[in-house]
Amino acid sequence: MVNIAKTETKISIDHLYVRYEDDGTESLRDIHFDIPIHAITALFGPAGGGKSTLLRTLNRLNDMVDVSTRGSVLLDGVDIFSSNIDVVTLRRRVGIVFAQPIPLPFSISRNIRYGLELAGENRRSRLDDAVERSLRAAALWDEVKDRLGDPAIALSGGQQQRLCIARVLALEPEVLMLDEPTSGLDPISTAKVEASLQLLKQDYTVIIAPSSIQQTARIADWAAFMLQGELVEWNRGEDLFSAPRNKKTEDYITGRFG
Amino acid sequence: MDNIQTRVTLDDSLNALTDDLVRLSSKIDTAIEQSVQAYSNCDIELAQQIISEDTIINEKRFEIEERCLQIMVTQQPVAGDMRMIVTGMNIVTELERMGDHAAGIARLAVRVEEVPKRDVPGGIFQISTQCRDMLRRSVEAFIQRDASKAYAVAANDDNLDTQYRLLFHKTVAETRDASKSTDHLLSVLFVAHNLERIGDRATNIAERVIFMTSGKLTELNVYDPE
Repeated sequence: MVNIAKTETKISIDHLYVRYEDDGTESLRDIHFDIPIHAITALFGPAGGGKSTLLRTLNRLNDMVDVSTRGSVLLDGVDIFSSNIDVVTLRRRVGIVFAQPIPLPFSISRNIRYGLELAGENRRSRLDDAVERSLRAAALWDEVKDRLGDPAIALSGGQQQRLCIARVLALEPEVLMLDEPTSGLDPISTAKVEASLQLLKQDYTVIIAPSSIQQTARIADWAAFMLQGELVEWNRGEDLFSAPRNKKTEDYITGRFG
Repeated sequence: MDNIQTRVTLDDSLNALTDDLVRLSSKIDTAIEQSVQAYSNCDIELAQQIISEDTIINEKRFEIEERCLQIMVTQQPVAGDMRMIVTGMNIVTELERMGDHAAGIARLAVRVEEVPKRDVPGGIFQISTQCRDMLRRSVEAFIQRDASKAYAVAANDDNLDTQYRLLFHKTVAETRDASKSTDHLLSVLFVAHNLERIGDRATNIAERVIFMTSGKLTELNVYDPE
């Protein structure tokens, strides 16, 4: 396995096993790799490979379903499964955006403010600052700045997805996870989301399950190929896509299966 | 749906690329053989034919390059597929330059004073046979994606360089013999030089085949001027 030379590790996944207890399926087997800070790490592979399960494990969304977990996940060196971890704080630090953007039935600006308000923030200036800062970070500000009071549902699909990214960013997470964030978007909106990720990685750690192999090749600083619950290969994106080490990786990215 | 064939278009395009390269390399092989023949037999007609066919080779080169670009833009190849296409583009450049060397030899056949048959040292024929053999084997390594064959081509190039050096020194020594034509001896040197460069280019193809199979860029034989 490759070592992340001279880059700081944000999340260290250590021999992680995840099993869904309701049907007994082992969804992740012996996942072991490091996720570097200020980079885009892409988890890719065919459906059912464990990408979403891994994402949902990293902020313990899986706690809501019946899973058993072995191994550890260290966030800044601290195990997220340890008993003194506050799950709400963890999910604030490790935010997630899903494939289907679901704007809350409020205005654009209230969508952004909502999470902060729930967390007890009521200072108007702080909330306004957060709205502008997170919309800018999600590359949406210029398109909506003159209509922040409009219902969010009126935005286009691509704008809604960037709104959902902004909504997570308002909570100032450290890690931004995205599960197929552009699967329903047109090429222009996709390009905008990808471009915003390139900016976001300078301040955050980005983990994405891309919507396609091509998207993985375009944006992954680090790429992890997951197949049937196992990590087959993990390497710098450009290296993995120019000369994969594993035959299965080569077969998948060149369209021989999947 | 499980049995649906993927990659049909891509595989067809890659096979067509291989076929094109094989056809072009066989044209080059013939051009090298005929250029030495035209030179030694003072066959001006054949020499001129080789020179004019070099234009066709140059056109074919652009055609193949265009095919490579089309595969890249329409199929977005990655990994081994991408390396094969990039290798194809490199090989076609080497082949085209080999064609130029053959045309260079043909030009010497035309230029040097007309005699019925030249006194060509046997070394020229040996070197010509060897570099054509290297060309064929480097292209074979490409078709079969066989790195060990590619390494063998490079090993052969050392042998070719040694023969070239022997011929070079022998020919230079002959210039001191007043009974020999300096023009003729110089043309022998130029022919040998063109052939030696063809061997180097076959080695370049071999290097590219190693890149294609492994993803590693390697220099097989560092050129040693003496």
